[in-house]
Amino acid sequence: MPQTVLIVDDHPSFRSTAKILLESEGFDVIGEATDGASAIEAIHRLGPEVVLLDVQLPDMDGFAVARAVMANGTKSAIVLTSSRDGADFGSLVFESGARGFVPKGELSGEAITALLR
Amino acid sequence: MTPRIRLALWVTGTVAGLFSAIVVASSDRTSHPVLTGVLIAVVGWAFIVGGLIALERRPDNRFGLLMAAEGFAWFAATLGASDEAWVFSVGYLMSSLYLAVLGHTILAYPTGRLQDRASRTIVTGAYLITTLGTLFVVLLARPADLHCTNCPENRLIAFHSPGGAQALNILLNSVGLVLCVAAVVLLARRWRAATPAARHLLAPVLGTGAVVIAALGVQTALQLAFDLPMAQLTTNLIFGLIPLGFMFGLLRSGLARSSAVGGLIQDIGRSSGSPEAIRAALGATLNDPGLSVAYWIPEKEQFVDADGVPVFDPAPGSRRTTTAVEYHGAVVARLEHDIALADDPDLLQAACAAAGLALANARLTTELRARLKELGASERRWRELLEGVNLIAVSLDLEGRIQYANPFLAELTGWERDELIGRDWLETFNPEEREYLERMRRADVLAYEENFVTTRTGERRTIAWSNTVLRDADGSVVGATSIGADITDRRTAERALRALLVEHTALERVARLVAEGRSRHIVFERVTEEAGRLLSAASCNLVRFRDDGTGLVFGGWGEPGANPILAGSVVALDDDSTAARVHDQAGPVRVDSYAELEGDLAQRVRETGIRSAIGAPIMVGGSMWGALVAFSLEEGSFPDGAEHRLAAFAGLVGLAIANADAREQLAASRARIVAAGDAERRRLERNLHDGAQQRLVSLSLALRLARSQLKKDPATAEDTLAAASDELNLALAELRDLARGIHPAVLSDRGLRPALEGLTLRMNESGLDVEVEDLLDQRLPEQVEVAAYYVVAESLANVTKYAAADRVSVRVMRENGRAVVEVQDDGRGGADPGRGSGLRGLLDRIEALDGRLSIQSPPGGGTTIRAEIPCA
Repeated sequence: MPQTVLIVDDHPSFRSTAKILLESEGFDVIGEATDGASAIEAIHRLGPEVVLLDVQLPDMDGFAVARAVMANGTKSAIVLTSSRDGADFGSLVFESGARGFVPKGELSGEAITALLR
Repeated sequence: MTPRIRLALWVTGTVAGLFSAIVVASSDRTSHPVLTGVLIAVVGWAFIVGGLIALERRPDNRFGLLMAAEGFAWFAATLGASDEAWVFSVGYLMSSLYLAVLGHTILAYPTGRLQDRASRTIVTGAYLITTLGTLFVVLLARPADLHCTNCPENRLIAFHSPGGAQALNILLNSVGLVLCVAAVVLLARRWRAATPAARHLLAPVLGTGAVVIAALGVQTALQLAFDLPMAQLTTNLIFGLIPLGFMFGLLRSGLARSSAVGGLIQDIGRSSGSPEAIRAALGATLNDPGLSVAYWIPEKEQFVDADGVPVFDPAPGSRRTTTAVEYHGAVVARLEHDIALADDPDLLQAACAAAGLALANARLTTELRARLKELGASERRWRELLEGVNLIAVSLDLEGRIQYANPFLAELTGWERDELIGRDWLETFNPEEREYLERMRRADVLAYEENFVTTRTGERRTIAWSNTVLRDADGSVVGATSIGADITDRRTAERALRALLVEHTALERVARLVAEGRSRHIVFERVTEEAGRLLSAASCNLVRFRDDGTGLVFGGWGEPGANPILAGSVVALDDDSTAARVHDQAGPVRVDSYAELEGDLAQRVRETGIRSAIGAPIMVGGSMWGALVAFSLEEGSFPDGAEHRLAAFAGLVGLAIANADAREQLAASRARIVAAGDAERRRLERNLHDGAQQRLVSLSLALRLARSQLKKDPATAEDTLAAASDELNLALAELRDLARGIHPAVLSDRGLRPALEGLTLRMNESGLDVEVEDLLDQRLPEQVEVAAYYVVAESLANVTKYAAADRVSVRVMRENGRAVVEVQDDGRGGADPGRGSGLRGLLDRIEALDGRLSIQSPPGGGTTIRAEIPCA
């Protein structure tokens, strides 16, 4: 049973490429969101097992989104991503309640699976 | 001439006279032998004796010699009476020489020398005809040819020619007649030209001479006319007159001298002995009415006249000369007289000797007169000086009464000069000077002192005095004289100068604060204190004029005890006050009495004790920022012009504010530039992150995907790679745009024109109609090109974003050393540089290059952005 994924990023090219990549590796991309507000709504509505959440969003940052959905008691595992290096963010990732961070250039099904274990 | 020669002459003359008398008396042709012989001898001797006496007395005068020579010539001529042939012949040859010598003697009188050319010509002619002429006659004639029938033989005859001899004789007589006439004319002229003194001297000799020459002329004329021989007796008698005349002249001269000197002594004795009486007596004695006397003043080493006026030597050629008069071996005077008197030095010397004592006395009188005259002149000069100078000159007696006051004192103090004489100085001018009188009495006045005089109108004038005591002949102090300079104006000027110096120093202190860029607060505090103290104000405040018609009082300075206007008070500028008046009049004002002002505010000010004030506007950037106001607790206490002096401080306040404003603007501009730079970097980071970086991330993912697809699904992998390639192109394009946004490379490589052409081309491609009307071909300084590019780029970006314009025109020109960039659109207008950062950034960028940016953007009327950047 493939795991369900929600991709949250404001860049269409990343969303489409990540969708093809994850699906080719057996994930089921069940939705996409382009900003923080629609992401919270989609997580609540779709209840994905994994949320691939970009750190930089037009209306709020990914940490705030993570904190918001974690506060709502979500069961989705949140994986933060960014084109920047994870070291830039330090402890913000775990403090936000996210499962982990994958740089966009290193995104793969394996990397996500490893974080979920 | 030695005495021995003179003795020889005496002896020779005696012998010659005796010889002649014997020759004549023994002659057969002599009608009265004894009488004629005696007569001949007496006439000759008279000449010789007269001449030798004259020679004894005046050895340097040749006249005596000539007279003696005439006597000898006379005796030589008498040899012609001899019956012996050889003696007769010699006498015949010498028969007329005595006539030439006689003419010579008369014409040379009285000096013995022929003074002029005419007399020399006549005498030379006479000698020629009586020597050479007679010689030729003697060589040609026998005595019978010339009417001497019983004369002895002429032993000297060479060629007998009776006709020639007679003709020559007539010729010689004729020439002789002409010479006689010429001599008479010459003597007459001399007489006419002679001064009285000279005539007195000439009269006896010239008179006799003239008569004799005239008689000879008549006789010669008779001989010529009727061929009559000369009557020997007549001739003898006529000639007998001549030495008598000469002797008479000499005798008269001596007698005259004695009587003249005697008369002179008598005249002087009878006269007052005054210089004028002595001069008149001398003039009369010496027959020279024009004679003048000058007296020797040894101290001055100068001759002066009877009035003490210096006299100088007579001009050369003026026919006047001088003779010094000595008394007891010292020169006492000098006579200036007719030059002819010098020919009778004996008379002159006798007169001088006779008048010596009187002249010595008169000299003393004259010297005294000269001294008095000089003293009078000196006093007059001093008096005139004191009368004319712009200095006070005053003399006081021991009681302090004014003895002398010059016009300047009267003019200065408003008194009439006549009123001042005799007035009490202390009462009139300065009651505080009692010590001066005491010092004067002790002969201990201060050489220099300063005090004052009070004028009639009550004004006090400061006077610098130089004092000296006056003493009488015994040396007792009789008063004091003072010379005073009115130095009131000088002292006032000095005070003004000192005040000016103090003011300048105060201004300089404030100016230094301003120049050092101290805060407004410090400058305001110091300005109010410096101005307040300088102008002796009780307090001084700054008032800031506000747009709502009120003034805000800033903290100021106040003397301890003064009740200053409270800082933070707000005054309405339509209520009458000093600040309000400055606001209305836009210039310095003074309020000499707050009682003049009406209204609540004036009342409140009066309640603080303020009675007068001055104010001056503070101008910043050409507009009135506020006012500097100084207050006093007394009415009218500020001196004239104090408000203008306050204005100088207000000017410094304006400068300080303008400086502070400029500094603030500069700081703000710098902050904006830094902020703009930060914003620009953020934008770049964002653009990179959102654009090229995302595409490269996607590309990386796509390539990884393609690799995984390559084996199991090559067709899909190919699609993925094709999409990745497109993504890469887009990333490259975005990076290019981004780089161009940072700095268009073409601008630095090829210049403004290609860069702007590329920019407008891209705009045109994006659908905006941009028309380039003017572009410069030449390169400009790099900073200017960059600024011009951004003006166009930012303006076009704004047009795209906000203006909704149909057309845009771009122009880049060069005018008067400035690059002018103008971007004009026909959009909706209403652009405001205060709102967005883009135009504000442009403004900072242009101002940093000392340029100007103007934005005209009326709502609905399009927008024109014009930048002018210096690029000389």
